[in-house]
Amino acid sequence: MKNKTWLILLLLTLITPFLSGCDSNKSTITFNKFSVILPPPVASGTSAYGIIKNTGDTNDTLVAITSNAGSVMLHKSEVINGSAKMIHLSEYTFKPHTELTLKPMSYHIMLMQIDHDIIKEKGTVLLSFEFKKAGIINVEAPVSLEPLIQEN
Amino acid sequence: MDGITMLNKSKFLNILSLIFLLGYLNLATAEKQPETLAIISGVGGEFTALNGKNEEIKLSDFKGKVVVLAFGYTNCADICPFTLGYLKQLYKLLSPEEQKGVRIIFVTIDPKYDTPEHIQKFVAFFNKDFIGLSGSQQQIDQIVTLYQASYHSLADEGGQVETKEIRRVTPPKSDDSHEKSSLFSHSVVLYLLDKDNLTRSLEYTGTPKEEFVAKIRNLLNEK
Repeated sequence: MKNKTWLILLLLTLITPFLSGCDSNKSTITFNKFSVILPPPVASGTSAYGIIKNTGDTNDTLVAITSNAGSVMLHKSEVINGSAKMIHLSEYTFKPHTELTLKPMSYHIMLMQIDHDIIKEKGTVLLSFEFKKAGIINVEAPVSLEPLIQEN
Repeated sequence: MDGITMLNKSKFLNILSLIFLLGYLNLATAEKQPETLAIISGVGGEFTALNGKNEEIKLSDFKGKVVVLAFGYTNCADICPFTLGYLKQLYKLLSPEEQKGVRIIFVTIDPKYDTPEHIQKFVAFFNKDFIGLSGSQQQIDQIVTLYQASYHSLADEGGQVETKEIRRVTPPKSDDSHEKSSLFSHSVVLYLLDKDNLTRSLEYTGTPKEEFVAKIRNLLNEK
């Protein structure tokens, strides 16, 4: 009887991860205060800023970003000894319960060869974020003069 | 007699209190003397460039004005618009009279793409008083050297990246299959020049605007 109890307990221990297998691979990504900055009419590019959070219990990697308003790259600006350089990031991994703030002079989404018919005053830009686990998440970012993340 | 003594004492104390109060108010309201900004030698100097009307100008054309000078380029999507936005807010803190004595100048480090007309239209979006300067590559490189600034291309060929190498969903704007966009790293220092065009301070967008404005006012008030 005792051996049977231990056997059942062992079996339960072994199969439990498989029962909750879907949940351990689930990723929950949220977006907050996203906006695309209104550029000068003659500009060929602009930036988007906001906060991306991984509220789940597993890593997830951002592997692609696209937009209906231009070509997209994920960059990080760094100022070293008075000189700013941009680092292109082909992907970014979010650890569980972490967030990435995209803001001026730091991580940002760079839109190039932009469509000024979309990126205009009171306009809305579609940004599609593709994650390895969470899949494609669409964000409708308003066009603003200042980054929304600077608002309280 | 005691009554008179008490009255005199009281009067004396009142007068003393009034003197202290006036003294305190004088100290409290006295303006803090602005610190003198030392000349930063070896940074700056006379240069020529092209303004938005394609006219050749010299830095000395701005003598008598306080100048804030910055470097950047119009294909810069993050730092340069942010810098110009900062300068726009800074400029707004000045009175109209003060603004007449100040010039905000933005020099392109990408004169191939940023023609004089193009750079002027770019900066005018932030404020119509801002001045965009371009010129020949030689002129731009000379200005960069004078101000001990720097810039570097972030791609192999002259600072340009083919946009076809970038993930895109919208069709290209031109038929050029090698359509390119320029990417540079560059200095982000904001140079504060006095009315004699001498460099007096090096600032950044991290400088509190009130502090920066105080320095501008300091220079405006210099004889």
